[in-house]
Amino acid sequence: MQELADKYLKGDRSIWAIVILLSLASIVIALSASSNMAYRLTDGNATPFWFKHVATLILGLVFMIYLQHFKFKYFSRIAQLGIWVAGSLLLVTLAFGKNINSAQRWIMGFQPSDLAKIVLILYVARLLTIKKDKIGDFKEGVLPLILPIVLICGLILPADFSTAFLLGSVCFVMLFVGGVSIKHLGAIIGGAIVLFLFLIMINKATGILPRVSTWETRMVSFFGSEDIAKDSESKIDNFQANQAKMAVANGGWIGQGPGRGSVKNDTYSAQSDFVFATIVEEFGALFGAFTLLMLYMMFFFRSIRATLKTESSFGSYVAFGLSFLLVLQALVNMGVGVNLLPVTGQPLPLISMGGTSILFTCISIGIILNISNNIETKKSVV
Amino acid sequence: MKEKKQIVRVYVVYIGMLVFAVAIFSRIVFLQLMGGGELSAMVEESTVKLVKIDAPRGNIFADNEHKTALALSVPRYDIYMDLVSVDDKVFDKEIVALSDSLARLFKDKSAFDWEQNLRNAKIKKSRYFPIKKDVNHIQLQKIENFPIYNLGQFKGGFIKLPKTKRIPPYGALARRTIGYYKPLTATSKEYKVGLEGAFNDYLEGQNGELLMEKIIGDDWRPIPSSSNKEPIPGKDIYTTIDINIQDVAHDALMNQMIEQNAQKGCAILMEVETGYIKAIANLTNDTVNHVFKESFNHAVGLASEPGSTFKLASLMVALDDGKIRITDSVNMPGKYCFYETCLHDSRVGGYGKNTIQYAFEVSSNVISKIINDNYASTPQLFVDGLKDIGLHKKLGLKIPGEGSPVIKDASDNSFSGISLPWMAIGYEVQQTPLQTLTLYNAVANNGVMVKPQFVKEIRDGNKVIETFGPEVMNFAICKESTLKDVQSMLAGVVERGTAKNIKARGFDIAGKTGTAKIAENGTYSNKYQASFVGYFPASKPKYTCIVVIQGPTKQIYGSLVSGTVFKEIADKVYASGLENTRDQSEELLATMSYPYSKNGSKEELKTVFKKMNVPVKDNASQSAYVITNTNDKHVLMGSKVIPGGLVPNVIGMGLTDALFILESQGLVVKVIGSGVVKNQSLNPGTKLNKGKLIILDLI
Repeated sequence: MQELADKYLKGDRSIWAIVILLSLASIVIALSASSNMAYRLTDGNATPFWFKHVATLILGLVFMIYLQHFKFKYFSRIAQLGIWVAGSLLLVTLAFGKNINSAQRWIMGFQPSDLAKIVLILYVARLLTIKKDKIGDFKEGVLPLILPIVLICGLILPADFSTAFLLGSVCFVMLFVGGVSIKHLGAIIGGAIVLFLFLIMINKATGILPRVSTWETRMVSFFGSEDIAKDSESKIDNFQANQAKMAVANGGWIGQGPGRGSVKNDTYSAQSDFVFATIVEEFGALFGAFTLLMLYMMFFFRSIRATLKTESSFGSYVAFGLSFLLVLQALVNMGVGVNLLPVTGQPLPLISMGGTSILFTCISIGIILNISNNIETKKSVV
Repeated sequence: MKEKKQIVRVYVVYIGMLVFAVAIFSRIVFLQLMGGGELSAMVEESTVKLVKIDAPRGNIFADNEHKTALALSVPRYDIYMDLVSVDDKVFDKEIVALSDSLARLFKDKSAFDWEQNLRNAKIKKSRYFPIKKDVNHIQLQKIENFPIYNLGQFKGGFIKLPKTKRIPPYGALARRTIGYYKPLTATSKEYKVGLEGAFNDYLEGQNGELLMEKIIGDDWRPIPSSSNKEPIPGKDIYTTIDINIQDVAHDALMNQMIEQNAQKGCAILMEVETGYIKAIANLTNDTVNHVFKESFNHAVGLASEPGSTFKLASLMVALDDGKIRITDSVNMPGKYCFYETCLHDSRVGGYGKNTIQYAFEVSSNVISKIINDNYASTPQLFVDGLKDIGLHKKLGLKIPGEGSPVIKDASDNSFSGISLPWMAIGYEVQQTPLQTLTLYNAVANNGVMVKPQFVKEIRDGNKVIETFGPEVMNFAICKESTLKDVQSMLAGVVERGTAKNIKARGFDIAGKTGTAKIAENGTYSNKYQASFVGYFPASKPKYTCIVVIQGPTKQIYGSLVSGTVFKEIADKVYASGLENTRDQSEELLATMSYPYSKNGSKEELKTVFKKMNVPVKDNASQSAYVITNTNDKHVLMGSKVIPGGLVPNVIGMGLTDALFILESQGLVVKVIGSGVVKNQSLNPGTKLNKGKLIILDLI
């Protein structure tokens, strides 16, 4: 067993432990949360969904094991190339993608934005490393960094506001950590706001961004009262949010037990947006919510440890960016689940079902493990 | 990362995330402290709700071309009253009139009682006072026009809750075999009875879900959403039950049960070749109310000691083992003792010296001695013989509650010195009536034992999704020669044996009587089980039938008590020549190029014809219901005008369509017979009075 672990589980053991715990939790949760969804979608047979989920997790694990052996220096080059691939895929998706809830996010069964997230973070990390000395200069250092961020996020934005916003925020925080001055960061925020208002105005005039109305209604339904919420989509959101609140209240400290959640049966997207509410209902605030929060925060902490210890600056930016993205996603999903934030459609990393999102999460973790692995090996050499 | 500024910034980010996580956890704690009460109030007031839409349950049909329904779902209403919303003045002014109307409509309470109850409810400020359950559409229309209620829900406090109710159009006929299904609820467990229970998974369909939003008052409107789910209607069950034979069997059994004032009884008719059950009647004496009811499926569930009908199996084993020949001579002194216990023949002094065949025909208990003489040293050999036939196994019916047969092994603790001879004549063994019938059916079917079946097909609308053909349980229950022997002995029972009294004219019956004492609480009581099981026509068997009656009070013998019921059923089945009519109608159909069709719903007929590539000429542009006319070129559809205020013409329609049209016009429908409507008691086109009774003759 020890040998086996030594052979396959490189890198930070704590991260491995967290990942394995999360995967196991995910399998249990999926079994209980999927049954209702599966019933809705199929003829009452829940197991296929669950098997698919487990199979995806196993595939993800294989990816992780493979990626930790990968020669790290290649990642920088991959980013340089990948940014073009991701950009073109996003462009193609925007034009021809499959329309789910009037959101064109899918092409060939996966969301290119999942790929774009990783690639952009790698690319920004690469640029931060290259432009290290010119970082104080706006024109020479900061502007070349902002350009790819704006471009990629801009391509994601029409179909998926929350992902674009999240990815933009992560890149922004990377710039912050990368040493961009506060003055320049303020300018970036100002620019982003102006750009966003400009987009809304364009939509008001031309209507070329159908999702903008959805964002508006989501905001309205979250911040406004039900009287203001006029259209059916925001009513459904409200309904779901109330159901989720009921589920959370229903959970108590130790929960109703796996599969026993009653509110789940009425919560539409028990699978993705409100999976956290279901978890709280079935496993309670203590076993469900606290454990998950702890796991994600510990994961972030261990990743930061890698960030600070690793020799290569590129590696440290990558580890920080990827782990921050994952944890931010997790917290945003949880925030939605407990009605702290408006509905976003962000999955809970490793837990929510949905094939490609799990695979890309595993790839991210694999890269982080690779970085931490470099530290460990260095240590043992010394 | 080595720069201090950067390290600080990383920790700043981490602390930020920590704050976020704490906020999430605090929010959970806040929601939980806020408690369910306030939240559920919020959900209650919500203008959006998820509504379950019940899927229509599938129907259960009898076996004929006319889709005669044995069980179908109809709309019914539960009526409640919200007395708070009725204005006090209006209430005082109209309460007498309302009570009077209610009393006249329901007839179960006096106007005075109604008034008392309603006044009390008004004082108690009841918002949900139950008026009446299971009100049908016609009654509903009347109630809606009653004083106070005609003011509607908000001023008149009138609350109606629509629901669907399962009704058996043929009342008690095969009631227990059709059965019922009650889902699991908070207060009761799940009940699965008969076909409704056995095929519930098919019948129930899948409920749908619909997101609804409130518009005004208490009106809800569906919201289009991708998560809405249409209900999937249940599948229809096409049984093997022939409603005409069922009617005959039910009546014949009922008459005898009344005549004998018996405890319980059943009659089953099975098609020899297929094992299809054409009729199954079960009656139990309800001694409290002095009526006979279909309240237990004795045919399927009652495992009891069969008595003499079991002698067939005993002799089959002995014949197969070559221990005896039916021509062997035996002495029948009338008393056969094993250890201390003696068995007696029903004729005092016995039957003298004669063949084994004769002994069987007169049902002499010498058979116990024959079996004992041959197997006393190897009793397990005899038991194995019975098991080879398959008598120790359940039939494996889909209907729940099949009784377990008992065939003891020689090694069993309860297998005593007298077990062997007693088993030989049908004691210390147990079989259900249906199990015994299955054995006799195998004899009629040249040794091939087929499983009794109640369902022919399951259909989704008009599409057949599952068929149940004959299912062979044992390809040869005995040797060819044994089969010939037992067949001739069974014919002899009616020809010259214990069942001479049921000898029929025109066709031969072969069978066996059985008269057994009923064991109660471990000892034999003075009650008897009289049975007759056999097949007809003996030369070319078409049907097998068993009649078992327990606890008759006038006579005890199988031939007299049950044999006569058997004969009545066989006579009517044979006389009505059911198989002949079918052949004729098939011939008739074969001469036409396009199929004959019943009148009915236009859209449904069109769909069917389109599937079958039959050209249709539609002359009925406006009507939902059409009259069909088949000629060489096409099927002509004429308008079936269903004028308001006049009695519609439903002649030529199937029962389901006719019921729908007539009930929707407010008529009370009574059905006689099965098949298509041949005659209606109210002439078409005459003035329609709601609530009037219309009798439909079906053929």
